[in-house]
Amino acid sequence: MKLKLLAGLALTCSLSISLNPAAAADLTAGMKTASLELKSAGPVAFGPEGILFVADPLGAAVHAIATGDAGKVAKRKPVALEAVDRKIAAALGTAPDKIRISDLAVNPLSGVAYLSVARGSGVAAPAVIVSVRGDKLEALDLSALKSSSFTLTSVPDAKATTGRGRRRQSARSQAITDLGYVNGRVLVAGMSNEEFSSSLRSIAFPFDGSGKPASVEIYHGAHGRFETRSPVRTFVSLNVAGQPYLVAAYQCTPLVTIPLADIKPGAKLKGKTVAELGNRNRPLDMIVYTKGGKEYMLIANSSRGIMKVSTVDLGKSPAITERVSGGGRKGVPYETIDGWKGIIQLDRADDANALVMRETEAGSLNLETLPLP
Amino acid sequence: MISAVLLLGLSVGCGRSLREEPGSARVDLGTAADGSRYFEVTGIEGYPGVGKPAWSEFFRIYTLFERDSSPADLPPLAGSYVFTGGVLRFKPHFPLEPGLEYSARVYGSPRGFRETRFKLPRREAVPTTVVSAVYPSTAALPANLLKFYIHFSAPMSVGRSYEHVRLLDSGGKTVRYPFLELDEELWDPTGRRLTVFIDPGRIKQGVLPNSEVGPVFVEGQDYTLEISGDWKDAAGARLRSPFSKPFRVSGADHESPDPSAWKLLAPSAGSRDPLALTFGAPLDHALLQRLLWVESAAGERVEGEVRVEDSERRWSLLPDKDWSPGTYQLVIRSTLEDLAGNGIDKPFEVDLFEQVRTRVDSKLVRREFTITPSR
Repeated sequence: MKLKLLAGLALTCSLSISLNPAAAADLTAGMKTASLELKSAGPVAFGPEGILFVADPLGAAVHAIATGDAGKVAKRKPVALEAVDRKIAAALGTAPDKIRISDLAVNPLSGVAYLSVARGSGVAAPAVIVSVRGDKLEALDLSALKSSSFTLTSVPDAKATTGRGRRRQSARSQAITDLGYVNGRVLVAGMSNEEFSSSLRSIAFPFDGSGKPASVEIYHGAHGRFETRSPVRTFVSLNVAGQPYLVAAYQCTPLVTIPLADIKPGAKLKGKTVAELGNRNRPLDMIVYTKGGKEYMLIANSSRGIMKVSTVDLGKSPAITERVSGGGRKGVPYETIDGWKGIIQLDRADDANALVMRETEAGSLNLETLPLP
Repeated sequence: MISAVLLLGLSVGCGRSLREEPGSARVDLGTAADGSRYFEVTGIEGYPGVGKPAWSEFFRIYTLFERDSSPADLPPLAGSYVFTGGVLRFKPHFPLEPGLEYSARVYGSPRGFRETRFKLPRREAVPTTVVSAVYPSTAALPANLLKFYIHFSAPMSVGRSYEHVRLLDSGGKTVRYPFLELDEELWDPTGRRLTVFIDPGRIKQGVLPNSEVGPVFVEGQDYTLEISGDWKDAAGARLRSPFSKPFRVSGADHESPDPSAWKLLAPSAGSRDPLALTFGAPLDHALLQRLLWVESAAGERVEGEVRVEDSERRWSLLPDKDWSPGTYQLVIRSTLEDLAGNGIDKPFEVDLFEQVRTRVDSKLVRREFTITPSR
């Protein structure tokens, strides 16, 4: 297991080879070094033992990659990398406007950040995973890493016919809006490009081919009266009153809680609305952290900055069942963090810091470590 | 043919040495049998530190974004090194980009490097791609319309789509925030069709965006969906022309489509005439290709060409083989939707207080019909 390096940055990087702890054998044992081909790279998230989960919507799959970056690093240098899009473009030999960065995940063991990147303009642009170790960029050589994949269930009735009896590829696709690893399962939130439906899948990990994923439909109940399907934009898991929950943001903006125990095959779930995040606003990313013995959640938003919410308040908050009027916010109280402007990606770097991707006014993308508020 | 011409121009005309550090190293751009490009360094015998401790210490390529830009703060090009027979080859992980300049540097001494620059000719981007269709195709849309499908004649660039799609009101003013802007962008697998959802927060009742800023569409008003000609296709060329779709908004539709009310025109046995189905109101163009089909009494799907016409009010199946006499079933998956996202199984929004219809629980709805020989 090793990372292939961007040429010229090689020297420091042999350290990235994992001192694979014995325990790692459990989760990576069934993985193979078999030239994983990413058709696309969307949301990314870390599991234990340096395993990176990559959503591949075009390939209709979730891949688990043993990055080999599994050694614990206690002392971490803060990241301050300007114009990361330009740097990645340079390393991949293309222009900055031909790079798309989909997501960012920090390996909790090492503090190394991983970005899912598309190199090119179209949907078929090659996908690359780039790691950021301090100010060093590396493109992962997937052919040298162990991996396993889970194919997301096939599209129902994807048999559109055209011409005389010739079947063509269905135009349906499933965007993957978020994924996460929670208690031995990979959770995948998706949205179809045709039906307005929601799907949240829970897949047992390691992917051993046995067992069907639990697929649930998520609903939104406004005022306990109007019921609609509700795709999930982003989610995070946390404990509320000792029970594991998902806190999810719907595409139509409410923030809801869903008990993890309810995610069973075929279930139809209605999230409990705990906050309305305001109109003309898209929640982009969420993280959970502890500070001063208290647990908080940070929500990065497209137009309302960074919100900080106490998870104790989340647990205590009654469901919102009445019309929200006036100020446009209701439910759990939150604080907007000044100075955290233009944040479009967010992950927890360590116990005290977050790693953020910030879009500057000039349109360039910077990666920075910021102390958790 | 084109690539051959480009390659020739590249190797002959574009490599130029800028710094004459002492030494005999020479860098050339070569082409492998599979058409991929590589940099080749020759004449490096006797260079101090060749290959030690890593080839990347000796030879690196930098991408130059602007002429004379300094790559000092940029990482070198990603790729792999092979050294055989005194020749060093560097193969970039990705194809070189037309129009960009690359600086190949041989670090022969601690003091400096010998640089050779290579530039690939810029590719002329000729606009040929057009918006080939927008669905729903009708010019009368419900106030709670859920989505548009924008079809293109060739794969498009993705990632900044929402900058190129605007909704204008009757006065030509841009309607603010009408769409659900997803980072993921809902493209089909070929990059030729984009699904644009109207913000569901402004359709659903009792959700904050709708209560605060109201719905996107007002009944009786005229609107135009405008697609900018500046949108680039996947090859980097602008669209051949902008596209507009004017339409008028009618009342909101909260009813599920009712398959028992559809008009079915069965063809005669022995013919290859279409089986035609007419709906009371337009249905979703994409879902009609996929969630509606015909099965024989034996449960076999009747293969053929599906046509969706008359502003998505008419669906027909032209069979590959002659119709045999017998009973058939029209099978409808209950997630088939109309323009407002009302499914066969349930409307887009279910008012739990005033629910009058019983929901269809089955995933498939079937309607039987008979094909008889013509008289």
